[in-house]
Amino acid sequence: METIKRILRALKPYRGKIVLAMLLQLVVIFTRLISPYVTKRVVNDVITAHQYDMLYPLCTMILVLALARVTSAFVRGMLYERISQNYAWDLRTRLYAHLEDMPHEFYDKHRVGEIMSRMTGDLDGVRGLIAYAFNNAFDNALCFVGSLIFMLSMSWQVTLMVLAVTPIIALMSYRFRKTIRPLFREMREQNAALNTRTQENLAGMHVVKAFVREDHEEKQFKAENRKKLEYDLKATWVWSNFVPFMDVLSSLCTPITLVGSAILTAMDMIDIGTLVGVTGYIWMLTNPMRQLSNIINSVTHAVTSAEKLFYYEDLGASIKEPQNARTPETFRGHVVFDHVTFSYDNQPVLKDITFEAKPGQTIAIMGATGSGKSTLVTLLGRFYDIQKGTLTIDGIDVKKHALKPLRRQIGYVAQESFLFSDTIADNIRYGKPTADMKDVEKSAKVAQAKEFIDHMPSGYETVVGERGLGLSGGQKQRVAIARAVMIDPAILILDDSTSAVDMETEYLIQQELKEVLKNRTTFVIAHRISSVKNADLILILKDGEIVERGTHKELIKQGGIYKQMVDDQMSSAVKV
Amino acid sequence: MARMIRQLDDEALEKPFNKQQFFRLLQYLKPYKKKILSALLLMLIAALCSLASPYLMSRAIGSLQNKELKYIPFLIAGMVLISLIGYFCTKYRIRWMDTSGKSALATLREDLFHHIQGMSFSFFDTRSAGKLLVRVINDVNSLNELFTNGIVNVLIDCVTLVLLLVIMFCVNWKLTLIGLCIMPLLIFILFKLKRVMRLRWQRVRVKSSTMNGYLHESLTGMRVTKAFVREDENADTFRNVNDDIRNNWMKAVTINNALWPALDMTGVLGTVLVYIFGVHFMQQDGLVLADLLLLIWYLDRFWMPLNTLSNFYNSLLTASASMERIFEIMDTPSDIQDAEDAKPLPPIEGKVTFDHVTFSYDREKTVLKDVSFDIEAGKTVALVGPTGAGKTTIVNLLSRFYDATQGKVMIDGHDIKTVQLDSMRKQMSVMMQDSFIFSGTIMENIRYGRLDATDEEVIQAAKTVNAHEFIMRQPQGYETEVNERGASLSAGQKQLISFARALLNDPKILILDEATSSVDTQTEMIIQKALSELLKNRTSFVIAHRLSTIRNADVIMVIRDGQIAETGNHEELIKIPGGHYRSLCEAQYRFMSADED
Repeated sequence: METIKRILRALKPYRGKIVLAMLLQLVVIFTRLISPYVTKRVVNDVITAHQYDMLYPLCTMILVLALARVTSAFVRGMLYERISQNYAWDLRTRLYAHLEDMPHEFYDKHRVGEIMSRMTGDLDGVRGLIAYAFNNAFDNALCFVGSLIFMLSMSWQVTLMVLAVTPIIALMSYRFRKTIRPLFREMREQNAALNTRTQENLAGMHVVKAFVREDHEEKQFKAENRKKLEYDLKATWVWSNFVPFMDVLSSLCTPITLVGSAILTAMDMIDIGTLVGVTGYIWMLTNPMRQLSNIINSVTHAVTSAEKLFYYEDLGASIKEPQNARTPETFRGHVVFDHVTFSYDNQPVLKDITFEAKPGQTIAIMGATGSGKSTLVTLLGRFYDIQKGTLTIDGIDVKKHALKPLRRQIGYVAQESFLFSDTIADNIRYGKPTADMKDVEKSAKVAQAKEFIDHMPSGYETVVGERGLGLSGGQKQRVAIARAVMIDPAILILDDSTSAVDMETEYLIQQELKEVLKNRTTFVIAHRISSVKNADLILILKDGEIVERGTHKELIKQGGIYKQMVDDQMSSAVKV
Repeated sequence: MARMIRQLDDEALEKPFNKQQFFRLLQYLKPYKKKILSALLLMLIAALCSLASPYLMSRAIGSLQNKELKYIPFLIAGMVLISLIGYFCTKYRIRWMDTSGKSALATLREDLFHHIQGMSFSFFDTRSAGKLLVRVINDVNSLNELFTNGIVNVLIDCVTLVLLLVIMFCVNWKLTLIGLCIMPLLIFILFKLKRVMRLRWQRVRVKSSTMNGYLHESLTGMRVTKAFVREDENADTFRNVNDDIRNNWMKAVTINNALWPALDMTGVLGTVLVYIFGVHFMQQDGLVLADLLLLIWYLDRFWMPLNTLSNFYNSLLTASASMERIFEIMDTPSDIQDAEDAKPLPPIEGKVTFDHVTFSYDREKTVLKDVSFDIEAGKTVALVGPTGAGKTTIVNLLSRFYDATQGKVMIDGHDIKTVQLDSMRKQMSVMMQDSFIFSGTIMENIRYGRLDATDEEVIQAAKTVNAHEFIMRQPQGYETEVNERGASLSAGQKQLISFARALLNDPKILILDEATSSVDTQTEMIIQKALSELLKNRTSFVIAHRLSTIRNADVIMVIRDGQIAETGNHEELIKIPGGHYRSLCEAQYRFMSADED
């Protein structure tokens, strides 16, 4: 109920249109309801009483009424379509903007496939509720009440007899709704399970093939598929118990009327025209009963969908900028971590991190996998909020920065480089759509990507990504670096972003970057000593803590983990 | 708005209805023939019953008009009987049709999935996972309505229409003709409109699939979007895509909305004509009131089936689009299949031979040119060379993810094209650049390498690759749930898990394709120690950039431009003055010690 109320509330802006549509619907129902009455007049006045001059006026009336009905029905239909389309448009774009505001944590926990099915299937379900179900429910309710009134006015005795079945219908509907609701939920979950199963199989196809696990995969898929079938058929069963029952109840109304009419005729209390009229109303009255199961079905469906959508909508963006957010005049890239502690899902990831990166410095971060290196640099753009300590950039706490201006100053190259299905040029200027080709080419050159792009079939206009040409890991990484260089950031983060690039190219990239990012603060996460040794400060992370810090020379002298790494790596690079 | 929707439109406009494919689809219903035929019979009975009801009512009114009550109880009994028959017919029709249709679709889905499992890499190179997912899930789902109700309803509607016509003609053929005289015109207009309608709905479908594509990608790349603050531009694009959908939808739905009123109006015109002429006939030809009412009531029922029929063609076209996409996949043969006389590969030693192998992905650009080499069983081979030189292609050919264009790849002297694929791949393990984690527990992920491995064996494998320690640090140890993107694991941890997975398989041939690039130095050193133990009785191919990984190999092959430029071990290659390997080592050493003062 709460959900329906909420949908109705969201329809407020369309109040005028809805009222108009409802008025038109009244016209439709009224003209429909009046037609058995006209039939009665035709039978009584024209046929029984032989007033043949009444025939043409009555026929004209039928035509005029029909015309009114048809026009109103058309306009009403279009109004509902318009309202529902606008509503869906509004909800979809609003949710999209909301999803863009969601923090990284949201995307850690929700799969893309799941969000997709909310934004498409579920949203369409809610739209259907507005376009058809509400309208249908209103229509049928009006039809039911209206034909009752007309019947009552024609023959209250017959009406009361027919009404005897309505409590049974109400009871059945209630039970139907109660059984079908949990079933719908189960069905939806099973659909999601099948979806995930398939998606993973397709995404991990190279592993499946490498281990010859096709049969195993098929078995698992079949299990989910059969389970889905089972739920679907369960719903069929419920449906098949309910729908025919409603049908039989409504069709029994006709013989009931006949019993009543026969008695009344025997007592001479009803004329033949009224009898015909009442029969017409009976059919009008029973149709809403037949429709009831459909309406319950679609409303229940839509409400479960809406619940899921509203759940998303209610998730507040946990990372928000404060009212009086500040933005420095110019960013210099002065970063200070002051006793920063960060936990994720109650698991400590970073503990008591303190260091300072002065403008223009290069900070290198090393450490074992899972030691918190990537997390540390994502804190800079405030993609997660820290629990303890402060992180300031140019003297302002990140929590007090205006978010977007802050992020615009950070060029981030992630471990896994994601490219969009677009041209290489547009991928490079992703963060600065207005940039011209000259700048794009310059960034590509810095990232050592120029050469391979020039070799592409359409150069910078080659479409890459999911729907385009596949690039190798190293090529993707270089485009991603160019993308970060493009925005001319005050802070550049390279998160293990040259792992798929060979050493020579990496060296060249570093040389170029040095030039371009002279006064920029750079954070480098890397495993190779060669990538970090020139840094102004090297941090060694272990289990979320800084265990060693200093320059290359200082750390060598300390003779700790870093020294060990240098020895290991030098020993394998052979002097020629 | 530079980045627009130019490459977003998913599918081109659909072709007209394909009959052959439709019949092929119907084959899936064959096993349920009996059920479907029984359901059809039930529906026929139900249709007859629903037609009988107005007939009985009109007779009743006729009797009541003459105050004859003796037939009334029989008529009432008849109506009750009809209702009850209708009840059973509907109930079992729903059950039988739904069971048949949905089971048939489940089978179709499984067949499709099975076919996809058998496809080779070149198939997946050209199709995104997202699109294939839509085929298996959405396209099959969209056939549901057609299978469970669509076809049968249409048959019944046709029968109903014919029956109605017959009865109406029997009751009074003149009035029937009068009542239906406008129908030919209506049908003509209806079919004219169909074409416009079809095209408009096709546009709506194209636009929605455009939106889905855009949405999918922007959700996948949301982290990048946020990092580069592109939210506003993307929201604009999304709004434009949505505008497109809304506008096209409104255009398409206008015709739909106009259809029913048009039918309704035609019906009323017919009714009015029947009244006028009916009254006339009553005076002249002795038409009775009961018959007149019966005609009017039947005429009322005439338009509904007509409307459903006209909608059916539309839904048939939608289904036909899905159908075509499904069969397109099912008709694509896998280009890597067991030869007919393929024998299982006996347990191998691991000797690998490339005999004048040439390969091209697209039959235009040659990736490997005339590559020949012999590797003794148990040796470790390192492949070195710049990106795109063909290193990955060599190992892909060895595991027969692709077939060589020319030449032969042999294992222990067996041409791999002549042995059963399964028996061969079961004896190798391949580890790729990006390690894939399935959702499930860590235990399950490692066990993927050998399904019958015991927990102890899994743990042993994890220990060997040094993954045990970090796994035990996870909240539930080996029972920790991880998901498809391995969100809670770092790239290095994911690699360690896939290492353990490969190890558990205990392969004779091991392929590591840059599998260690994201592992930190310490971990890599430890893994390498473990691996050197494990590589003892295996032939292994290692692609890596780090010399540390390479130098201990028995054979180092330098690949350049699809050819082997140098072969030998570290000591041999380093001695070649001006050699590729030597200069590579020099460069790395210089690089390592650069600026060291």
